[in-house]
Amino acid sequence: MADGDITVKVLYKQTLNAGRTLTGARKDKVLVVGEIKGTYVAAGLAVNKLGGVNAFGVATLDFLSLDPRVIADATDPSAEVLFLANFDVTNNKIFLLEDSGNANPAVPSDADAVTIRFLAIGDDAAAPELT
Amino acid sequence: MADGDITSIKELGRYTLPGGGFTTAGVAKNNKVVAWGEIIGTYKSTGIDLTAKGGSLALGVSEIDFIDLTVTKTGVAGTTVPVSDKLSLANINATWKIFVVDEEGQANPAVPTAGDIITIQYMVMGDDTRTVEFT
Repeated sequence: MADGDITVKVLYKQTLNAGRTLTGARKDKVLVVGEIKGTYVAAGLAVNKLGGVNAFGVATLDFLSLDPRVIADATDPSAEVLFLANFDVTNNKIFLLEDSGNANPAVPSDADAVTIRFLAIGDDAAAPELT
Repeated sequence: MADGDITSIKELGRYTLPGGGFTTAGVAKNNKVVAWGEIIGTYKSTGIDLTAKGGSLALGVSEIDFIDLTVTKTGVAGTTVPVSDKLSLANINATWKIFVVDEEGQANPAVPTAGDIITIQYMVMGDDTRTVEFT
């Protein structure tokens, strides 16, 4: 597995009542909770290699929250060393900071093992839209 | 009450999620729940410690699948709210210690002072502490 590659486990998936797209079209919505594991690279974790937001179990992403748990194996958040994750919705990459709270917060090193939990809400990737 | 202790945890809502889920090992679980509420504690550089309240059980789940922490107030009086370049961030580690930065956006973002009163909103999803698993 190359640096930047990820694996995704879906822990829970729940179909919600139907919602809408930004243009008002009705859509079947789903809530997904899962875990991403990968090896970090400065160019970002490659969600694009797993089908973009389909990796989160959604065809279109309405909402995403990332909960970084582990960076570099056993490293945990601690005082002045908090974790922060952002998702690039254009290129489908996840970026991490591992020293939030420091004067010069560092990004993880290439090849650092990372574990991130996610909560995604969007259009169900698995369900046909009966319209 | 010592620094690092939890003053209160108030569960404001809980919803049992229909349908089963899984553990990271692939074991089926039928008792997934979403719960949300408010944690108030006094800060300490080694973290606000949920251990004495039972770790994840304090938040109403026996296993945490996902957690989101939003810091709403900090400061010695517990009334300081985020402003322009002093945003707040919270993480929880594997041993139930919550760490906070309350000046994110500054060149040298500070952590809260020991004894500062921290208010955090939480939303957690995981295995329900109250439900028997019929396996």
